[in-house]
Amino acid sequence: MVDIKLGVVETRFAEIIWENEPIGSRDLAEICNKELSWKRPTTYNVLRKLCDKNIFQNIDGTVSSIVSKDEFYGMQGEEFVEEAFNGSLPAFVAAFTSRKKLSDKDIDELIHIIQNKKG
Amino acid sequence: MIRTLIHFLSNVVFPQILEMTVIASIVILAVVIVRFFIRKSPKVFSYLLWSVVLFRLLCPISFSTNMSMFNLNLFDIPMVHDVQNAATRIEITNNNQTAETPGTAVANDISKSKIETTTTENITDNNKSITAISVITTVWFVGMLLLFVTNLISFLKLKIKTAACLKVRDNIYIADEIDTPFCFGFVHPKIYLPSNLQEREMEYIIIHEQTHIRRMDHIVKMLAFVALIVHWFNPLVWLAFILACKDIEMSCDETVLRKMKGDIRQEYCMSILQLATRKRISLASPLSFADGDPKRRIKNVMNYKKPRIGITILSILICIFAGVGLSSNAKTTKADHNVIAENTENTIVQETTDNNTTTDSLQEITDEQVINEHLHDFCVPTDMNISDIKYYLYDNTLEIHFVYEDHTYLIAKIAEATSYEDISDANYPWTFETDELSLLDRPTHTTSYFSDTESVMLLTWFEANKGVNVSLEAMGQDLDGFDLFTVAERMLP
Repeated sequence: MVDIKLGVVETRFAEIIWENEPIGSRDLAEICNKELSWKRPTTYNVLRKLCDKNIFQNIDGTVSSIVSKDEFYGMQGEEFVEEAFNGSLPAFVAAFTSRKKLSDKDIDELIHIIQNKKG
Repeated sequence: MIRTLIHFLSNVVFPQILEMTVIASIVILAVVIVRFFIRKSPKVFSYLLWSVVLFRLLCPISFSTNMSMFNLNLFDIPMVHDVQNAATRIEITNNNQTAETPGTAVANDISKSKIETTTTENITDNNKSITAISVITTVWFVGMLLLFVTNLISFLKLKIKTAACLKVRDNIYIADEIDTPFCFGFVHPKIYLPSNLQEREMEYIIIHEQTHIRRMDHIVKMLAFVALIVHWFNPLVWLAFILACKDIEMSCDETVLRKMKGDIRQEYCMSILQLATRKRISLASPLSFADGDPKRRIKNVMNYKKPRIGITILSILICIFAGVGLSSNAKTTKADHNVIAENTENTIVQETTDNNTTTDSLQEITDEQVINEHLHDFCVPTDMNISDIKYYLYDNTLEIHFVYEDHTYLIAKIAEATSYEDISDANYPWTFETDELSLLDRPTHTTSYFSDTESVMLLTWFEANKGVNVSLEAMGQDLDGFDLFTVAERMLP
């Protein structure tokens, strides 16, 4: 089971891994030290938590993702639509477009995706 | 090594702590009362009063003023030396295995049996059994240690939780695993916020924590915690700690309200409520936004208005008066010296009476003939500033009481004997003793005792020419430099 509920800090950490994967855990700790001022045990602790949530894996010291970044945000989006719009994507798009105007490019892209799904 | 430590703690540290706790308890009660009266005023005044309590809990000494509330003499406040004496006497009791109450009778045994070692140090070393004071002190120390360790562990756990954090700006960080915002750290305090706060909330919570830091609240709270674990046995101190924490938070809320533009009271209260439900209780928790009593805080916030100038001035006056009154000690005046001398005289007289086999109280004699008979040609020096000379007679011992320069009380005793005997019957834990000094070739035994409130010096010698033992005792508030020898020399026949 994947747990995609991440806090702000965990999400930031996940982004670092997605950006640099596959990466050795030591190197990962280096990066976190540089960018976030984290000590090595801290990095390992957070990594362990994310591995327990089945988003990433640490095999023989190499960290890689089980869930890719796109998948992850996709799942989060799904959950959001589920919770906020009762799972209705049209409702979501309607709400989204009522506030923001769709550009022509966006419309073309949407039509393209829908046509592919239909076909 | 342990023995020395326990001895040091029992006889030096613990009595001091007891004294501080008693004084502080009185101060705490006073502050609770005053706080009740100024409860409608800004809480910053209560905060100031609590700092007086903290001072009393942590600082063993203070200055003396005439404004002190302790001048009122409402309570009989035991001073350190009394506690120390009690400690000594209990130990001496154990040593002699008597069941007598501390005080007169016990010390008499000592002077009568002429124990070589009259200093506390020696008695304790010789005393192998565990004394009551040592046990109590150990319990206190262990309790203190336990509290310290427990909170140290919570502190470390918190430190770990905040390790995985992201910097927002300056010294502000967000972390996933914390429930409530708080500020952490002594020298460079950092503010940690839970990562799921809303923008608007973050704004005033940050101001709240920054106010804590600017006011050095994190240091004050740390000191308060130290005071709490040292005085853990005193429930009033716990009360003070809880109330003080509430006041710290509420006065901080007030500052935030003043600083933020617009009326944010409702949102602020919502935050207090939301974050209060998340919190876990811990003593030494760093200043958390969820500290204090949420209900009181919300009430305080909603009722907060810019205080009228009149109330402010009144509150300031009350605080200054209470603050100085409670943080200073009573002033002792010259009148007190005489009181001490009198009291000491009464004690001596009382004790001497106890020692007599006759039940007659000390009779003053004025018959010159009788006096001269027992004086054996000694005389009270008349060229010195001597006053109030009184003569007493019992059991063939002539006792002369006189006052030197209005502040030192002297008792000379002359009794017939065939050899040296200490006829002083003075009951003090002597801190200094020697047989080396001599009074114009007479071998003299000297002892002295000094404490915060009184000093006693004693000379005893055997006058071979006359076949009498003489003792000369001086009592006063401060005998530093007093030359008892000269007085003795002037008395010689």
